[in-house]
Amino acid sequence: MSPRLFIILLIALAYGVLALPSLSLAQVTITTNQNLVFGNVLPGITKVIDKSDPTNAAEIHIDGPAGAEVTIDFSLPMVIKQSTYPLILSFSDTDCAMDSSVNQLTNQSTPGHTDLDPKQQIIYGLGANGLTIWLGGSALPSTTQITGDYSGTIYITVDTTGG
Amino acid sequence: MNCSHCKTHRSLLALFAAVVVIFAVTSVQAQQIGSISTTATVMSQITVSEDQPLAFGNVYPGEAATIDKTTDASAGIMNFSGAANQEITIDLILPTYLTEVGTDQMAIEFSSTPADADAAAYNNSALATPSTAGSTEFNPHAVLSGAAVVTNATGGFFVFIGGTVYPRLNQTAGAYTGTITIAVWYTGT
Repeated sequence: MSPRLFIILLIALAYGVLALPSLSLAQVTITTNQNLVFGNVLPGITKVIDKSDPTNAAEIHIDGPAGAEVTIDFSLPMVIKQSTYPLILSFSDTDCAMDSSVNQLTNQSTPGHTDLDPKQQIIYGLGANGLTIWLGGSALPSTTQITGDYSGTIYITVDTTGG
Repeated sequence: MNCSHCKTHRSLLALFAAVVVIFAVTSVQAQQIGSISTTATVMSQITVSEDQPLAFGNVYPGEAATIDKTTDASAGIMNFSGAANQEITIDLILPTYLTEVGTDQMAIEFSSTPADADAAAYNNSALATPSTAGSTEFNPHAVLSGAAVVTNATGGFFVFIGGTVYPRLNQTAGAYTGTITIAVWYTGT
């Protein structure tokens, strides 16, 4: 085999084997429809945002090929901050819900899959209209919590399993 | 075997490995990552200050002296300040006597009689004087809470307090003082 042909075969092989999974992953997109908003909280009073809260719960939409199985991993902050001052957050084992039905955006109060633990990896299938995820949580201000606006970021990683 | 083609193929295999590594890294980058903001606004803490002490003035041995909660000049005025329109709970820890610089004591009493309780609450900052009509009378020995105990639109709330002192016939002359300790917190309701 000539060296030139050998190079061509190697590159073709590498591209064929390794590029295809990349292409399938690229078809998944994540859109944040609504952030997780605790609003006004009082020092010493825990505020809970339920995942079914249409105004304050986070809503994320995932688009991709219908039937594709995806893994969903949240990176949840332990605190949100105002300058250097932390405000403790907590996420329960049931703070997440999702729905992949056709009318998923209207199903926040009755999602197809509910009481999911956002601290664990979740595996789910995309529907014809993708998948909508809702996330609630709790803010736990101390009695001496500094007044002001606190913010932070939740990251969500979505990967196709190939299944 | 040491041929020129073999060397070439070994070099190309090394190149292939490098390509695999590069593409492997590329496949990890194809993972999709989104972000969600999470926000909260912490309201101000509830605090309390003494606008005016409960002052009995001059009292005489053997004669009880009473200050009504509606007396502008001498009723005690507690000024609470916090977030607007929030229900709060107030717990007063009342003294049972006043002390005269470490030597003598004088009994003090706060009435809990429903019709004449020694404390009143009010949440209208524009009318925050003890004689304000409409103040909500309450038993100062009980915890004050409920739907009516709500800060006003600017976060204010007032408590006015009166009481009665009972100087003995042999009460030592001098200035007597005591402390009312106040605990207050948001209910979250």
